[in-house]
Amino acid sequence: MGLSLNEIKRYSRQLVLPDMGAREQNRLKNAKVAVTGAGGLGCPVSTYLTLAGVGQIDIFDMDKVELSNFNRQFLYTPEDIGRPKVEVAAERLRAVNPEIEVNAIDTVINYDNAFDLLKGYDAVVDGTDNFPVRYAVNDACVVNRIPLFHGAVLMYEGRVTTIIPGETACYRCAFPEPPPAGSVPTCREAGVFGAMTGIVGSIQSLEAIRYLAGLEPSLKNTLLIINADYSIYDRIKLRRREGCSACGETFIPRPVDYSCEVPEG
Amino acid sequence: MTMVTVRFFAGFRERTGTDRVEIPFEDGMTLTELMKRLGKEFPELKKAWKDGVATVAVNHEVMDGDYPVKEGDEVAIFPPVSGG
Repeated sequence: MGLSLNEIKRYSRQLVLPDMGAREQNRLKNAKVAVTGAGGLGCPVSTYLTLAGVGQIDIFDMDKVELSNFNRQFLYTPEDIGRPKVEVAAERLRAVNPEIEVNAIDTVINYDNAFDLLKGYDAVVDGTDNFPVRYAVNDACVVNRIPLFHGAVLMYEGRVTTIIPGETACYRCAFPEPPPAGSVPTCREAGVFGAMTGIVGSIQSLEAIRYLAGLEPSLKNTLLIINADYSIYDRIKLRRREGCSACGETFIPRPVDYSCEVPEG
Repeated sequence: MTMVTVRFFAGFRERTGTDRVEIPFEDGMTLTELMKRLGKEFPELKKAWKDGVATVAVNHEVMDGDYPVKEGDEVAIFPPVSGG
């Protein structure tokens, strides 16, 4: 299906970009993307995917809006406190861009359901907030061969990488083992600036948009580490790890058990 | 004595209290040996390396433990972070 006059006007500022055009915009329109997490990263990620005209965006989260979200999660207002984040986010994003479909999926992602939940998507953009889910999302994307646009933040540091299963290093290649439960602080314990989640989420969405439009993403096999104290940006070259339990020759399911950890919003 | 720069990221930076150190090394010393030496000064790193939680890059490229450290190398040690 082609672009309507409305769509051509709406997306005109990106359609005039040298590498973009109706063909690329149509690819975005026909794309189906899962955004895992509707928090500090999920807000900028889902917003920029919406603005760019990605045709179907499914947002996964099980949390409800809380007052402590508001230093970074800009899709919510105090009136939304207590409502499921995905429901509010989907409402706002549909209002912002009525041309696309936004679905709210109010569910927990774990190792048991990730492989089924994350099936049939053209891309997954991950902004979840704990290791068990991050490793589950990685393994599900690798097994289902879905490109994964990874972002993470903590304190003054942000991380972004683009994972194309079968082609690039996966999350487990870079980080084979999660830290022992309880040894790593969460955003609640260690803190994070909203602007930092904005930077990381924006880069993730840019990578995903480039990929979906058919342009080359810039962070394949590359872990971008952003340091907000000194504005230092390190690009670390990643390699596929021989014998990786996720993307190696034989897939080995390896759920991460943090059952003693309190979930964080 | 030849020195090598080691940079710490995220939790390693918090726990060591610094973002970089200069440490002496001998010719032919491997990354594993360098991590052992660092582990004496920073016991947290020793455990993280043993647990496979510390990813190590040399000159911005992830390397295995058998990489022989050379003069002028910049070593970066970082754990995964999960905040979102």
